[in-house]
Amino acid sequence: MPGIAVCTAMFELMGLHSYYGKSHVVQGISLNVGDGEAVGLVGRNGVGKTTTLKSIVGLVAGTKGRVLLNGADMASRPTHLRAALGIGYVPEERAVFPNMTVEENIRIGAMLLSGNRDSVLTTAYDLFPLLRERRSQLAGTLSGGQQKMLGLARGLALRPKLLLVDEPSEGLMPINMELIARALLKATDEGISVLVVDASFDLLRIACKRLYVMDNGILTGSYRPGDFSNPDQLAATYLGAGA
Amino acid sequence: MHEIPVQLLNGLVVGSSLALVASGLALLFGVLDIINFAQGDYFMLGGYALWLSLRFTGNFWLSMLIAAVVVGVAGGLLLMAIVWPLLDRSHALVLLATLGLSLILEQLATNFFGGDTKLIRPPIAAQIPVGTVHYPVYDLMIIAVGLLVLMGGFMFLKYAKYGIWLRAVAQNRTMAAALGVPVPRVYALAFIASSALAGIAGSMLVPVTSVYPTVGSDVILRAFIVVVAGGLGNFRGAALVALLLGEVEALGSIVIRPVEVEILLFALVIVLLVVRSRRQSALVRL
Amino acid sequence: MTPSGGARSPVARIGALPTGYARALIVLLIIAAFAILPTAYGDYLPQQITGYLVFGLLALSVALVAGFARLLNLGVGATFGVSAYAVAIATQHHIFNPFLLFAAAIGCGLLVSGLFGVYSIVASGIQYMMLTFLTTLAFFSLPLALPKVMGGDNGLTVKGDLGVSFGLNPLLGNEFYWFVLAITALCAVLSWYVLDSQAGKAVRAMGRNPVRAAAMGYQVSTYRVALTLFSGFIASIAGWLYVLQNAFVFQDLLGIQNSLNGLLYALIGGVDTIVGPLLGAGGLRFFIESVSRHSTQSSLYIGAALLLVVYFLPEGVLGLVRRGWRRLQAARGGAVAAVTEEEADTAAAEAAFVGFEADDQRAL
Repeated sequence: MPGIAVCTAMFELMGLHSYYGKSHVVQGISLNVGDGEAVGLVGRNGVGKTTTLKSIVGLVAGTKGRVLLNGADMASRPTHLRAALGIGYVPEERAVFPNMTVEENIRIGAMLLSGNRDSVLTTAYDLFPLLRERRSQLAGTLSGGQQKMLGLARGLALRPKLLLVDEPSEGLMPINMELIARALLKATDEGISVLVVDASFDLLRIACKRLYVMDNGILTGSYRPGDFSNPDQLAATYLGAGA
Repeated sequence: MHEIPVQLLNGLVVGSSLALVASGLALLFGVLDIINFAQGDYFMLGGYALWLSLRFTGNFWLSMLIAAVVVGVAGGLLLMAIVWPLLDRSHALVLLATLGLSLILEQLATNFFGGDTKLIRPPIAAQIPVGTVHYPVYDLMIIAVGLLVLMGGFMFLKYAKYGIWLRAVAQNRTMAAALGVPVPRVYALAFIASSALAGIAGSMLVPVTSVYPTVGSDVILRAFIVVVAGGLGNFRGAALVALLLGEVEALGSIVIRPVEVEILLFALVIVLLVVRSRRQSALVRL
Repeated sequence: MTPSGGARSPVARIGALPTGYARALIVLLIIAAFAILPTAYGDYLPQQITGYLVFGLLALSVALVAGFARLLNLGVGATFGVSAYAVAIATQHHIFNPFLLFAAAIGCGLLVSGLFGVYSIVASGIQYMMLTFLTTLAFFSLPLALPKVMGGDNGLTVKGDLGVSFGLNPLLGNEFYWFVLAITALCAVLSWYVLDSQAGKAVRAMGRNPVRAAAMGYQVSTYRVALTLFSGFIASIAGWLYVLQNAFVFQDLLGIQNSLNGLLYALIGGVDTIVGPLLGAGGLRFFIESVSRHSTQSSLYIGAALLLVVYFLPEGVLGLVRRGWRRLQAARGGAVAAVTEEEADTAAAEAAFVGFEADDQRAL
């Protein structure tokens, strides 16, 4: 499979197979993400992108394969240890702590940090000013889009080595989608690697250096966003011949 | 029969110890989704632990501390051991397992301590005039200690690292794990804290209610009502409702019979629960 | 499947029958055995087994609602108690017609079940369980609140003569025993018929996965109410038989105790079968009676039994038997095993998928 050679990948997934019961959802995936690099994962609905992310974080019981973070295999570790060791996850569904304030939500992300936690808050509010306005509001009362942004801010507060983000722009207005894209870009500037599943061509174009295409549980191609001049060309790679 | 100020205080005595037991239940339910039928028996064991420690140490307050720690830690770990293998399975199984534990604990207590009622005199015999009656100072201390522990609990949940983690796990266990919260440790803490709360309540109340093997069963029933009314899994709600319930019962019994107060309360809580359930959409719209 | 030659034993011949007929034959044989054997032993045995049958029906009603429909209704015992009390109260008011008493028992029992049915529409999961639990506690307090009508904590006796139970004497002879046996058999067959129907299968599917069932277009709430009423009907019959046998009702009948007993019996026997609860009731009650006779440690044994069942026998004794049977079938290359494997896989699949939906009600 053509790809950009990365000498020592910060994060490597080798031969991932994931099962739900007897259903073989992910059928052998290998990918890598470099230091401070943002990589996108695209494909039709239901091909196993979310399952891939969930497997990396340790939320799918039936998995095989190696999950290497700076060379250390995470495969046998429970989810909270993977998070402590540097794999963050921002899921697609609504996952804020509804009865905590916006600020409390972000702070939880920062709780494992030894350094200055307040600066983490400031960064989050700089990235998403509307969160600053609502810092004392209960997270459950935010709109869906606002909750997505909070989820991302909280994931970034973890200061992970690799942040997995699932469909961050789904259902968002273009303005907010740009905020998300810029947040991801800024994260990579600060050395946080990102693996993002998303369908928005604009977001992928702004934030990602590379793209993997997934279909039917396997990777079918690896590209740069610059290889495509419009969303349809990208979509063609996974809605192609067999669809 | 009694004057209102006295009944108000009585209500607080009952209410604050009920609040400790109920909030322990709520904590466990909130964090782990489990109903612990043995919570009343930990209340009972708190009383016996006090009685036993008293015979060895002769110091009431030290005994209370010992009782709280022993019931909290040993009881909590025992409960955890029993419930842990069942966590992924149905609620009914956990219910029955804690029920089985409850029966065993009651029988063992009877075997070990005897079926008789143990009486212990309050460490402070003084009384203070309240209205036209003299009110025991110890009872006032119960109110104070109870409220202190509850306040401590609120503060812990709000500001302490593990308190925040407890709340996070209660609200979304998976997301908490994905943010690095050590969920198994938080579970253990929930078990221990819940048991300790019951143990403290039980040991505190011994001079007032005495201790006998089934002392827990009355407490547990009302604790369940409180937990439900306060909102399942809501620590603050349970505590507040318990205090309220204590007062309503105490004041209500001036006017009508206790059993009628009880049925009224049942009806109220049931209506409350029905109303609240209807407001929650999602699954229920089936 | 048949041995290579020679005459076939009766067992093999039964095994060779189509499953439906084989099962029906076995059931008839069992009922016949129950009708004849205890009376041959005479003495107290028929009355003892009558008691087991009554509680077996209670356990069955719990299994119907908790095992098949997966509604943790802790109020089945209250339905049982209310029916029993209805009969006793009626006789205290000089109503002795056995048919009217039956109607009173069933009527009141269905009313209570109706309430639980309403709960199943407005709430689910733990909320539903709590509603049923609290309602049962409220019923428990009723005799104390209305002592004149309900006898307070002294209980109520059943007035009138044997006419109340159609002239059958629960204490003498075998007729009452056969009467109860017949009714139990009828209820079991009726339950089997209901559960085997399309509606019954739908209810089971709804119990396993209500969301999917609703998505497929089923009116889940209607089915839940219907099943709750049916379960209440069986529980009311059990209560009616109980009060006919014992001629006395007391406060504990209305409380949580019998609901928990019923649940325990059903679990031990096998909560998603029909025969299981009956077996569990008989077995456990026999065990407890023997143990209580010889020691005062009964709580300990019951508690230990509970824990054992929960850990090692969650599918009940019949579940174990079924698993062994299936393994036997699989060893003979039967297709039966495959179907249930698929069920197990779906369950595993659902369990493996960890969702992130937050729980809004948890304020802590």
